[in-house]
Amino acid sequence: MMMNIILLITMYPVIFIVFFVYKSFCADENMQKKGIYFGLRAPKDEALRQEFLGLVKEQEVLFRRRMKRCLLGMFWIPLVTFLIPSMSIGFTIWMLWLIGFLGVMMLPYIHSHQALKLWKKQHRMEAFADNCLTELKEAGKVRRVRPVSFLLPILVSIVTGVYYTLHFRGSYAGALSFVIDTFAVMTVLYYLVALWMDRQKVMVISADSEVNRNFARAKKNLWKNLWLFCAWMNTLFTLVCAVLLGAGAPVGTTILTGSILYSLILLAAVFIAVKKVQELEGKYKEKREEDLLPDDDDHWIWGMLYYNRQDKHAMVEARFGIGTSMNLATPLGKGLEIFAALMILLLPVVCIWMILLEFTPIQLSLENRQLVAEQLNTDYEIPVDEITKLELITELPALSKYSGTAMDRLYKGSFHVTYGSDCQVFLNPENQYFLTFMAEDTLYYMSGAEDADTLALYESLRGSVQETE
Amino acid sequence: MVIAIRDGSEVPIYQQIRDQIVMGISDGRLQPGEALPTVRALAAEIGINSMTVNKAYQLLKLQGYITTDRRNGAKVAGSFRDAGELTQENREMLRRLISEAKLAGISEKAFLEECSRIYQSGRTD
Repeated sequence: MMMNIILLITMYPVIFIVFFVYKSFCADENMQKKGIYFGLRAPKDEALRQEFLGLVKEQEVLFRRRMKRCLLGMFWIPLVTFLIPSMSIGFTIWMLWLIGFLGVMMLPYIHSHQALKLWKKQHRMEAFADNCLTELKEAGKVRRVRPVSFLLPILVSIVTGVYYTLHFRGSYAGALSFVIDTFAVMTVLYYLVALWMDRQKVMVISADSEVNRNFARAKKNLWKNLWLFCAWMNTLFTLVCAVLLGAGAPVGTTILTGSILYSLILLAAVFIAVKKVQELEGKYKEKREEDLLPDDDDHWIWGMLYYNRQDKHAMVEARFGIGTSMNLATPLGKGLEIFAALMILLLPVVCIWMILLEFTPIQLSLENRQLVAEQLNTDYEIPVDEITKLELITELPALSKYSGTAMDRLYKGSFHVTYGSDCQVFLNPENQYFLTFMAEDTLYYMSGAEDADTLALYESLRGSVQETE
Repeated sequence: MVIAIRDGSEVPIYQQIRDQIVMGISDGRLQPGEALPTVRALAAEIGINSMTVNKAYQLLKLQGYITTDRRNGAKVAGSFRDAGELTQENREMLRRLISEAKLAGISEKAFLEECSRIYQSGRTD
């Protein structure tokens, strides 16, 4: 139930964000000023243009109507999860719904795009232009990213990561230093992305070089500021996490709170940057020369994905939304496609794994003087002779997972006792009785699938452990 | 100065670059002594191999439109060869153009007016 409430709070706003963002893309004034409607370039011939714009108006009405229908159709589906007690099945429904929702909400745009494209095809409009416009005088000159401005955040992040890794050892600290090092490396990644975006070609929006130069400078400056802000924010996050976790603060709360804050600030920063880019585009809309730009509609899949083998540039001006789009025909674009496909395929695998974990009962048994813990595979085999300090407890300490599983009915893996030591856990937290013991200097918390199993095992183990002690 | 490169054109890309730089010099968009981008920068900007841009620059240098040196890179030449007449190659090109214009039904007057307009403005578009 708690997971459903968290997902409801975090995922439901996505519905409205996607709805209003997609809707605004349909009648994007800046895009229309560039002569682009539903991802298609308007014809240059005046008579055909007027006819085309008439069709656009019709499609806008249909688009809004279809968007509303899609929203109403998808809106109620996640509410079903409140009727399903299983966490893994509920999670699976949420994830599949999210992917489905993002796809379904695209359909009205694609529908309108295809209708207008068909009209252009029927009027035999060449839409496969292979013109590459280049600003000769500014080639390689418009650069806004200075390595020195990124040097300090990179240094602070790396030093923090290295310091934490060297000073805090052990499996628990090792897992945490992996988290901190990952964030430290992200600062370097932000710099590399900034550098890469800065190296992109100067967009040609006018025959006047001065206009192209100023537009490119201003735009690159905005993106540079965003990446620099991200690098500093990431550094701060790395530093604060390292200090708090080093001082022994609860891992789950620290990382969860930090990640939520981080995501919100990042979202706000991207939103502000996007707004500024929109304002900049607005300022330059009078200076844009639409006639200059070739009709390359056929290089755009559904008017939103750019795929052009002839064009070696990895980034081009976006047709859907704002900013830039990646050329999916370049090696970088292909890498992105593979990554996206893997992510989409990985999700069902994760969901199936979660369902298996939730519905396979844990088994704790004694076999050949070994305590064997099994679920899907053998998780632990602990020789009884090594077990000491065996106790039967009815209340678990506050545990934070740092590797393994923490579900409503299953705790399994490496955990940390808040303000205490590391431990290995294999239990059903909904039970009333649990076993705790030491073996090979490791603290264990375990239970059988039912309380009866735990109690029976405790009785069997107590005799053996007393003999050993 | 904007240059347009057509991938699907029968004219090789190095020739397209060369032609457009010559047009830029002729119509004043590129001034004598003005620096041109480096071979690497222009190749990255257009999204082509550096060798192609290098070939265009070599051709321009050979024909006297640009000068290059290691320290300052490529620059538009300060002065150009003033032969006072068309080269044999350009004369052939003009002959072909006139023939095509005749076949397209363009009168001599209209053709000369178009030539004059382009000559005066220095721009072909």
